[in-house]
Amino acid sequence: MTKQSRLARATLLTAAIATVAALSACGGSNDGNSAANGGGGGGEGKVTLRLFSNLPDRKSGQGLAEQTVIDNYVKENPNVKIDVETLAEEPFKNKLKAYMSSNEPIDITMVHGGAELNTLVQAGYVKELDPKQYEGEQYNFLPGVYKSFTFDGKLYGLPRNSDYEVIYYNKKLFEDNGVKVPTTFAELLDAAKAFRDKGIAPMSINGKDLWSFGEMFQNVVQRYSGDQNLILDAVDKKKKFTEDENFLKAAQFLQQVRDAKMFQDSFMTADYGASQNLFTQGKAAMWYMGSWEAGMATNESLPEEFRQNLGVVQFPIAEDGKGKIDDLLAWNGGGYALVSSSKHPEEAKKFFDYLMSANQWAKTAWDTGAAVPAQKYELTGKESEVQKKLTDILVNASSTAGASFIDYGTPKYKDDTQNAFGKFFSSSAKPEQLLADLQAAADTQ
Amino acid sequence: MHRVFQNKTAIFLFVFPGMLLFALTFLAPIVLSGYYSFTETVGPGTKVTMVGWENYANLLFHDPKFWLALRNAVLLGIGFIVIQHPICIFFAVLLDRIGGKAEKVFRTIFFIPCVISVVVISKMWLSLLDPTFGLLNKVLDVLGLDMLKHAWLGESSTALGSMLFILIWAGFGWGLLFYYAGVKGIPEDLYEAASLDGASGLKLHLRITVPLLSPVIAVQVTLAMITALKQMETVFLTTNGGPGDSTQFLAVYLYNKAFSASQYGYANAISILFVIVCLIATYLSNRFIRSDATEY
Amino acid sequence: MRTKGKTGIWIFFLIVAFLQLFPLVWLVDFSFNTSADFYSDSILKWPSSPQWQNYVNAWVDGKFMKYFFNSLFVSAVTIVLTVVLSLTLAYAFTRMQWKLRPLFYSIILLGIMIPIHATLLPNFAIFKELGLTNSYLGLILPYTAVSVPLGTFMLTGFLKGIPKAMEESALMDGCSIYRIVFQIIAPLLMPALVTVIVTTFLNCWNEFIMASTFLSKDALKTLPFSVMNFAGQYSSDYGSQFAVMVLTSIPAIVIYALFNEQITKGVTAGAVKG
Repeated sequence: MTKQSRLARATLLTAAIATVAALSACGGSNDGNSAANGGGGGGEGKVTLRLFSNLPDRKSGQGLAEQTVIDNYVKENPNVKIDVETLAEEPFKNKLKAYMSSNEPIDITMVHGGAELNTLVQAGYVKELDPKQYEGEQYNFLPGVYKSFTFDGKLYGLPRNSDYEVIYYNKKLFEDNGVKVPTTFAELLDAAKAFRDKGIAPMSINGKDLWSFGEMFQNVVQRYSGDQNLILDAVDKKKKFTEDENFLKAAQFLQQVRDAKMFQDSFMTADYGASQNLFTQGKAAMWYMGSWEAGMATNESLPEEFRQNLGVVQFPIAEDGKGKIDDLLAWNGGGYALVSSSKHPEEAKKFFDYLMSANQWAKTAWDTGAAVPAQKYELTGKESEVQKKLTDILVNASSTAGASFIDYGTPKYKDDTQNAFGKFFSSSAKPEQLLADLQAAADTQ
Repeated sequence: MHRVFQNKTAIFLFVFPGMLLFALTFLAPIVLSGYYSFTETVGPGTKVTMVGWENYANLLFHDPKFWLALRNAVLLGIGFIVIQHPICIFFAVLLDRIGGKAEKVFRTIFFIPCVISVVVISKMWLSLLDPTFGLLNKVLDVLGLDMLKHAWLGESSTALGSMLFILIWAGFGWGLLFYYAGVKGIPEDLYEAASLDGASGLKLHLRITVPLLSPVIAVQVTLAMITALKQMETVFLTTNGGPGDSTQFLAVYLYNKAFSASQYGYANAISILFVIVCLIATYLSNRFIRSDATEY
Repeated sequence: MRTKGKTGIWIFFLIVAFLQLFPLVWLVDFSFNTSADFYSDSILKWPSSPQWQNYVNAWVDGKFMKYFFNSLFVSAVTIVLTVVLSLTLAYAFTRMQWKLRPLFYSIILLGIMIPIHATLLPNFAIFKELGLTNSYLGLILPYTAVSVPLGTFMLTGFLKGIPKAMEESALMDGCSIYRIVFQIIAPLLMPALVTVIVTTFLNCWNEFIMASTFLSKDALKTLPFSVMNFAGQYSSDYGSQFAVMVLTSIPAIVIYALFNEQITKGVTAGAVKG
C-alpha cells in the first residue's frame, strides 16, 4: 500500500511538473510578445538590462543620482533599455536572496559588502571583477575601498560610497532648548535628559532594522579602546567580547543610553523611513545614521525649515577613553555587482563600467548632494553645508574602521548579533548579558 | 446505486486537476523542504552539506526561539478562544435579537475590517499605535490617562497583546458571521420552551445557545488555533518578531532564518516541524472537542 | 419591554461600530493631511487645505490602475479555477463511488492546515524552475491551490445536505454526469458557491507574501504590493502613504457591499444544512 501510494505520488509529481511546464511555455511566449511590442520602435538589437536597486525614491537623494546615470546611459546608447526594479532596504535584501536561490537573470544588482555579498559569492550569483581594470583616472577609486567586496583575494563588486556613521542634528532644536551639541558621552547623556525633559525625542534610530545598534556599539567600543580593529578581532575570535574591558565599558554605556531613554519612544518599531521622518519633521533632535544621507540637505520634499537647520557632527568621545573624535567608523558598504546569470553579460558590463566611472556615479552623487562617493571627486563650490562638513569629517579622519563588525562574519553571525542588540534594547538585560550573547554569536558563526 | 457514479473517467477528470495542483504547491515543496532540512546551505545552488538530524536536534533542544514562537502561537490562540470568540457569540446573539433593518446594517458594518488587505491593516495599526503620532496615545492623553501610554508594539510587555488586539479587530467579522449563521439555525421554539421553564437572559443562552452552537464552536476553535499558528503577515509587517522576540512566530522566524541569516537548511527544518505542528494541533483540537467537528 | 431592549442594543451597536470603524476614519482623515500635520495633538484634523496631491501621488506613482487590473485579473481567474476545481472535487467526494475517496479527501483537507509560509521557499524554487515566477500563473496557481481545499470543504458539507432525487431523475432522462454537475448541481449550490467566491476573492485580493516573493516584473504586480512599493518611494510622506492605503481598500469594500447579502446567505445556509 505505502509503496503503491509513493509510486502514485511520484507519478503525480512528474505529471504535475510536466503540465505546468507546458502551461508556462504559453506564458513565456506571451511575455516574449509583449517585450517585442514594447520595443517595437527601437529597431534592431534592442537590449533590455535589468537593474535591481534598494533606492525606491527616484526623485531625490541617491535614487535620483542612480536614475540620472541610467538616463544618461540610455540617451547615449539608444539600443539599450534599462528596467529598474526597486525595493526598500529590508524587502530588497530578502528579495535578493530569493533571486539568488532561483538564479534569476537580472544583470546588475546593488549589493551590501561583507556578509550579504559573501552569501552571493558563495552561491556564485555575482561575477568576479578584475581590479586592474578599475585602476586609474577613469574610475579613481580611493585606496582600500574594496575591503568589503573582496573574498579570498577576489573582487566581486565595487563600492558606491564612502560610508561612515555620524550624528545628524537639528540646530534649531538645540538652540531653542539651550542644549550643547554633544562632543563627549557625558554631554550626549545630558542632551538626552534635557530633550526628554522638554518632551522631545533626543535621538531617532531605526531600531526595527536593528543594524544601527550594531554600528553604534562599534562606535562606542572604538571610543573606549582607541583601537579600530579590536571589535573585528573579536568577530575573528582573536579576542573575546566577554574578556576585554573595553567591551564591558561600551555595553555599560549603551545601558546608560537605554536608561536615559535616548531613543524615540517608537524606536523598536521604527524602520528606516519612520526614524528619518521623526527627525525630518523636527520631532527628534538627532538622527544616528550614515553619510549616505547627505542628500537630506538638498531634498526639496523635506520642510525648508528643517533643511536650513540640518547639522552633522562626529560621534562623541568617551571622557575616559582612548579614541579620538577624528577616528571614524567608516567602511564601504553599499555597491554594485554584476550578476552571473545575466542574459546580456557584455552589455551589462558596459553599463556597469559606465555607472562606476568617476564622472558618472561619483560625480552625479556628489553634485546632487546625495552621498559621499568612494571615488575621488571634484569640489564644485556649490556644496551644501552638510556636504562640506561631511567632507571635512572624512578628510580629517585620523583612522578608519574599514568594515562594519556586524557584516564582518557570516550572515548568521549578523542575524544573531543584531538580535542580541534587539533583545538588549527592548528589555532590562544587563550589559554582561549582551556581551555573553555577542560572544555566543561569534562562537557559533 | 447508478453505474454512472462509478465512472472511472469522470472520477479521474474530477479529481486529477485538483490533486495535481495540490501536489505541485504542497507536496512537492514539502518533499524539497524535507531534503533541505537535512542539509546546511545558504541557499539552493550553493554548496550543500548533509548534516543528518543536526538541524532538528538543534531546533528541538538548543533553540529557545523555536519554543518561544510556539508559545506565542499558543498564547495567541488562547487569546482568540477566550476573548474573541465569546465576544463574537455575544454579538451574534444580540444581532439575532435586534432584527429588522438594523440586523442587516450592523452585520454589514461589523464585517468591513475583514475585507481590508493585511498590508493596509498592518501599516494602519503601526501608525495607530505609534507612541508619537498614533491615535491611541492621543486618545489616552485627551482622557487624562497619560500613565497608560505605551509604545504599544515597541515594548516587549505590550507587543503580543497589541498584536492580539489588531488580529481580533481584523478577524472579528468572520467569527461573528459564522456564529451568527449558527444562531440563525437554532429553532425559535427551543427558546420559547426554555423560557416557559423559567430560564431567561444569560441562563437561557448558556442552556440553549452555547450547546447548540457547539459544532460551530468546535470548527471555529480549530480554525483559531490554526490561524494563530500560521500567523505571519501582520507580525512580519509590524514588528518582524520583535522587540526582542516578544512577537516571534514560526512563519516569521523561518522567513528570517532563510532570508536574513541565510541558514536555508535550518529554515527548512523549521518548515517541516511547522507543518507537523499544524497537523498535530488540528488533530488534537478535533479530538478534544468533538469527534464529528469536521462534519460541519 | 422588547422595544426598550432593542433600543439598548441599538445604542450599544452604534458605539461599537463607531469604535470599530474609527481607525478607518482616522486613516481617511490623515490621508488628506501633510506629514507635518501627523504630529499635531488633535485626534482628527480638518486639513487646512485638503492634500489632493496625496491622492494624485497615490494614483500616479502608486500605479493604481495597473496594479488594480492585475489584482482583478488574478482574482478573477483564480475564482473561476477554484470554483470549477472545488465543485468537481466536492462532487467526487460526496457522490462518486471509488476506493481511495477517504484518503484523497483527507489529503485535500490537509491543504487547509498546511501553512503556505512553510512551503514558500521551496515553492519559489520550483516555480522558478518551471518558469512561472514572472507570469500571472505564478500567482494564480498557488492562490488556487490555497483556495481549493477550503472551497472543497465548504461545498462537500453543503452537498451532503442536498437530496439525490434530482440527480437520479436527471440520470433517468439520460443526462451525462458532467451536465449533472455543472447544470443541475451547480445552481443548487449557489449560496455555498458565492461564499467560496467571496472568500477566494478576499484572499487573493489581499494576499501579500507570495506576491512579494514570486513576482518581480512591475507589469504583473498586484495592489497590496503597491502599498509596499509606495512606502519605500514616499517613505517621508505619510499623507501619500495613507492615500494609497485608502485607494487600495476601496475596491474590496465596494465589492463586499455589492455581495454582502449573498455572503451571509451562503454562510448561513451552510451552517443550517450542516
